[in-house]
Amino acid sequence: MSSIKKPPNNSYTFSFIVILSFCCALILSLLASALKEPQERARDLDRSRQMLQAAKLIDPQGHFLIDGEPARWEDNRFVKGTKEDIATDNEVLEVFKKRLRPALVDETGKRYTFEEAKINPSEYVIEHEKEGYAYLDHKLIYEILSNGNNEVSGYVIPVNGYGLWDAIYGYLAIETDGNTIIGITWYDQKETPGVGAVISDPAWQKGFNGKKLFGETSGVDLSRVPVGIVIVKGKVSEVLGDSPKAMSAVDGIPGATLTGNGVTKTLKDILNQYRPFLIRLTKEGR
Amino acid sequence: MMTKTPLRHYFTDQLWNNNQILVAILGICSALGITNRLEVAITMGLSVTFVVACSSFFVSLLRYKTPDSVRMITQLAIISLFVTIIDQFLKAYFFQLSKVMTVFVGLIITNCLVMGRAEGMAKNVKPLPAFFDGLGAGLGYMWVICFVGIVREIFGFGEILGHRVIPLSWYATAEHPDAYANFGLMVTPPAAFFIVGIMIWITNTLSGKDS
Repeated sequence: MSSIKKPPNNSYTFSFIVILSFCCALILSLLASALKEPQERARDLDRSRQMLQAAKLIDPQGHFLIDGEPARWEDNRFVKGTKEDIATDNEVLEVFKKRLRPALVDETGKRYTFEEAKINPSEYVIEHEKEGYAYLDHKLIYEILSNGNNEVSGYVIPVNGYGLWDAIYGYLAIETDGNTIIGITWYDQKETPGVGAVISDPAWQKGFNGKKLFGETSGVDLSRVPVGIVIVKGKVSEVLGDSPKAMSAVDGIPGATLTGNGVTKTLKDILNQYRPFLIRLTKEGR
Repeated sequence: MMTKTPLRHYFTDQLWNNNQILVAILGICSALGITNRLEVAITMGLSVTFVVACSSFFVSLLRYKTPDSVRMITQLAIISLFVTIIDQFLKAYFFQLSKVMTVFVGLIITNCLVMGRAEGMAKNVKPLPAFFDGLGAGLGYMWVICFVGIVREIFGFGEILGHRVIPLSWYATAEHPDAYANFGLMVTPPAAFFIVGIMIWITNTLSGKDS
């Protein structure tokens, strides 16, 4: 090139960088505010999907489910559908509102509504989403409502803790007996891609279905028995065989023992906070 | 660039003769990291193409204004501006994909090929050639990682873009334990290392560099 560069001039260099940074910052902040709404919507949609997935109301491919069979959303209820019926985004949000109802429990395990506690649900959910709801005085749960009527057929407990690298967030759905797991999903994690990140893979999450939180509950003092659910190192059938502990054990992820330990600890810590509520459920169930 | 080269030459040169992965051996990290599904490879390829093309254009636009002492910082600021734009955009409209791509979108900033193009070409030529050079570099990168993605998805999952191509009836079952099984290595990054290695070998042989 024939151009001759100007001799270095500090004030020119300095002002060049300031202007450049200012322009970049301006563009990015404009963009961030413009995209805030679609980003929040995308995140909400993902959370709703993940919670419905834990409650087995939708499968990872996007079909609504009645007892594991594909369904369609019509007139505020699920009707039998085919494999072609893929849920739209709006339907997912609507089903989330209609079939999952947020509620609160206190440290004695008593269940009450947001209105009774005079708390605004959406503000409460956003305010505490980072540190989780298990250690608050009012702990969050979601009631899973049956198809067509408003009977409670299960509960979703938001769980959060630490994996290997960073915080992990998920939803644990349990049946009304307070012991059997319906399903689990992890919607936010920063574990090693391909190894620990497998916790967000539905194929692995399937291993939780039907497992027991406390193992056998009849004739056991639930206020003393430790939370039994555990991620083992290796395959459950090889590690525990037919022992009763296998009822609460889930196959580990090869190469992700530490993430597995993090998940186990997370579930133990959170479920210990919800223990009075779970004990109440097992008593009611009998 | 003393002699006048036609615009399209900047573009085609990057696609094959000076392919960033196969010839310059740049951008290998992400080529290994996130090519186990074709869908992810396409998204990554498009993102990188957008970032290289736009940042090359603006680096070139500012080439007489930029003081030499802060040249690299300026390039980095421009590159990170576009990476952040693409990252925010994916989070807003392709949330599921952005979850799969995780840190790799942010890491486009450190992808050597982006800065390589800014430093090696864009700061020396006019904006339009720089833009086409960046576009070619990005698309050259894209076709390579898409090819790796196709190979890995077929042999690792038996699918392409999530659609099954290897029929389930071929797979080994309890009755036929000797039948076909997915190639587990293909899911992990080392597989891409072998595929890219073989592709570089073939290109070198074809271009006669391999003596």
